[in-house]
Formats: sequence, C-alpha cells, structure tokens
Amino acid sequence: MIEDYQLEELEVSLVLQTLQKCTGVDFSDYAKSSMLRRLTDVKDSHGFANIADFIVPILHQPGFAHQLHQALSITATEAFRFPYAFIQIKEAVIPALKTYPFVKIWHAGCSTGEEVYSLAILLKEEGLLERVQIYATDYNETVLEKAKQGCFDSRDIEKYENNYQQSGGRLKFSDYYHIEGEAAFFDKELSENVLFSCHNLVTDGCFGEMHFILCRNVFIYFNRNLQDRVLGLFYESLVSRGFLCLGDKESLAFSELKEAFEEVNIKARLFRKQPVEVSS
Amino acid sequence: MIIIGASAGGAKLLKAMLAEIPVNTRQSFCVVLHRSESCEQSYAELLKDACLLPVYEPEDKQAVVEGCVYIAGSRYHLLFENKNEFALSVEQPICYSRPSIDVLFSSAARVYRQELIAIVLSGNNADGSNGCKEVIRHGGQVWVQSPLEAEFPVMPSSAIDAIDECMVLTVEQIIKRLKKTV
Ligand SMILES: C[S@@+](CC[C@H](N)C(=O)[O-])C[C@H]1O[C@@H](n2cnc3c(N)ncnc32)[C@H](O)[C@@H]1O
Repeated sequence: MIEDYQLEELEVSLVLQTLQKCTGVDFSDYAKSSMLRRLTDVKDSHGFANIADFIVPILHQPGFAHQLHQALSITATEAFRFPYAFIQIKEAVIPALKTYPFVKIWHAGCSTGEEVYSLAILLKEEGLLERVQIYATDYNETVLEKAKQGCFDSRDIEKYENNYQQSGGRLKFSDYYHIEGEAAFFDKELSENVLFSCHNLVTDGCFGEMHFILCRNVFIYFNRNLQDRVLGLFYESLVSRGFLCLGDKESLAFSELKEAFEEVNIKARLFRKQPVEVSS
Repeated sequence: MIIIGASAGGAKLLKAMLAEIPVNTRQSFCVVLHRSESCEQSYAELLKDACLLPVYEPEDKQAVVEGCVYIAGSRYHLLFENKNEFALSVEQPICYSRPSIDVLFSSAARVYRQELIAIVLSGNNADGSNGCKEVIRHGGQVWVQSPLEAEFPVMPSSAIDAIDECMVLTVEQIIKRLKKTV
C-alpha cells in the first residue's frame, strides 16, 4: 500500500507532467519543497481536496493550465532588497560600467519590478541612467504587467525608504514616486530605458552582450541541475568581464562553471566573468 | 532530527537547551527563532557561544550534516528539500514572520516522518501550530513548553490546541529528555 506522503509526491509529479505535456512549461527541475507548498496553497484556494484534482482542469478547461503555470511562481520582492548588495554594486560595478559608452543590464526574474526601479534609481544618481538599456524579464505575465506600470503598495513605503537609506541612497526615496490612492507609482522617467518582456529561463535562449546580469532569489527555486544550465545561459549572455549578482543566500558552488567567474564581493553575491582564454 | 520553534522569551531557553547537548551527538538541530529583521547580529552568532556544536545559518542547498545546529537566517524561510539538503524561499511571511516555524516544521515533517521531534517554546503568536499538525500527521513527536512556565504562553498554547497528541513539559524536562535521545 502506498503511503500518504508518497502519494502526495506522486500527485505532484503527475500534475507537473500533465502541465508540461499541455503547455510545454517544465517545472521538473524546480526545488520540490517549495513547489509542494505552492501547489498546496493553490489547491486550497481552488477548494480542491487533492493535488491530483488539478489534472482534469489542466486537460479540459481552456486557460486553466496557463493560469496554474503563472500561479506557481513565488513573486515576493521589495525595493532595495538586501541593501548591502546595492552599496557593493555602487562601489564595484558602477565604476566599471562607467567605462563603456553604452551599457546593457538584464534583470532575470524581475517579478513586479521593484528591483529594476531600485537599480534605475542608483543608476540615475550615478549619472548613468541615460546610457543604459535595461532588460527586465520574468516568465510570469501578471507580475510583468505590474512591473511595467511601476506600481507598488503604499504600505511598503516606510520599509523601502529604510532600505534605500541603508543602500547609501543620496536623496530621499520619496523623490522617486508619487501616490494615487492606495498605490504608489515609480516615476516614469526611471523606466524609459527599460524593456519588460516575457522570458523563461528554463526554455528561452540567451540575451546578447550584457554588461551586468542580476538574477536574485530565483536560483533558490531551481535544483542544482537547472542552476547549472541557467548559469551557462548567463555566461553566454555576458560580455568578457561582465558582472553577475545573485540573491544573498545563493551561490555558484553547484555549477561546473564556478571557475569561470571570479568573486567580487561574496557577501553581496557579486561575481565577474573571467576573461575568456584565447588558446594559441 | 530535532526542530525547535521559538519567539518572544525563547532565545535564552534555546541557549540553555543547546548548552546541554554533547559534541558527539548524532542528532542535528534545526531552529527558527523570530527576531526583528533589523537586528544586526547574525542568528548563528547568537547561538555560537552558547553551545558546543557547530552552528550554521543554511544557505541555498546547504548539506544537512549530523551533530550540527542550524538556525534559519533572517528574511528567508528555511525548508528541508530532503534528508541531505536545505532549501530557502522568500514567499510571504507567515504570522508576520519570515523565517516561519510553520514552513520549517511542515517540510521537516514530510522528510523525517517518525524520526522527528518538534519542540515549541515561548512566543507571542500562533506560528508553529500548523506545522505541529503536519508533524503529527506524518508520525513525528511534538514537545511543547508548558504555557504555565512560558514567559509568553500564546505560542505553546496554540500548538497544544492545534493537535491531539503532544507532550507538555517544562524546559527542565525537555532538556532531560533531549539528553536521552542524543
Ligand atoms: C522571488 S522573485 C525574485 C524577484 C527579485 N529578483 C528579488 O530578488 O526581489 C522570483 C521570480 O522569478 C521568476 N521565475 C521563476 N522561474 C522563472 C523562470 N524559469 N524564468 C523566468 N523567471 C522565473 C518568478 O516568476 C518570480 O517573479
């Protein structure tokens, strides 16, 4: 007789397989522990008794598979999250970026955009904003739409103001947004050079010639195998000596490519692509 | 595996308990302690001097090794991916807490099943009680600090109310029992 917990694992794998067959999205290399939490939450919000109850609507209810796919991403984010990283970006990355006539930056897994606007604020204060093209991508269209609008919950203002100050901001956070009712909106000027677009790190290809890639708090949801693959994608997308920033508990330790990056600041999770060796 | 959840009034109990664990233990300990996010000192620093075992704040995919104390760092939920590996998540706080006791306990319940002891100490909210339900559902044990003794009884009381079978103990009794299992 199959035990309860094994049953649950079987259900999860059947649901993810069905989802993959129907939509092409592949969650098989995602961390199992948080996937199970997410599926359980969505199951409860639908009033389903079992995780396996997803299977019939995925197969037969138009739009359901897509909706589920979107609902499975964990999108919690904040402005100037882990302020220390922004201090280090200012010290170690910005001076190098200033040496280029034109700079390309990629936020992979940007969620609702707070991280994108935060970096844009820093770039503006450093006089670099006009010279950059920023690509902000996520596979979740709902959060991308919100990111484009640049809106955030006005209840978060105090926390963001705090983070901004700790990140070494030169002015006041309130210089960069305005309030309409319950929502606050980042100034439009900050996103003039930002291109928000849908991109799935599991299936989509590389973005050329980036000087700086930020992919923070996305790897924690990937298993080692997928981390390794996506790191390869970043390696391909970076210019020689380009920078990479991960989330503050993430690492390159599980990748065969870790030798291809040097540590710039380990606490801030800042890395730099080693110069490509030209074999003679 | 021994998992411990504590909040207000729990830090000193935690230190007292861990101080009694001998270095050669084959058990591991995994702790969620609620603290303010702005607190500068790392969680591991807080416990390091209090016990003989090595103390770590797990990072993404850190290995689970016997004879160690793991304490969830700030701003991330801590989970067990399996018996060998931790996982982290930034999903929304539970009971205003990230790390949350519920998240740790639920994932540990599934991974360790009958080989799990969950301990709930003093605290001022109900985080942990849903996790305790999961621990029981998967065949683990729950030990709860007596609300009569706890400086803040809400957390232990909520845990006791949430489940049918648990042991209600004083910290002294918890330490005695722990010493037998390690
Ligand atoms: C926790 S948020 C991180 C947001 C932000 N970078 C930060 O650190 O605050 C993770 C984001 O990664 C996105 N994501 C997960 N898997 C992805 C994939 N395969 N391709 C693109 N984005 C992905 C999710 O949709 C989610 O918005």
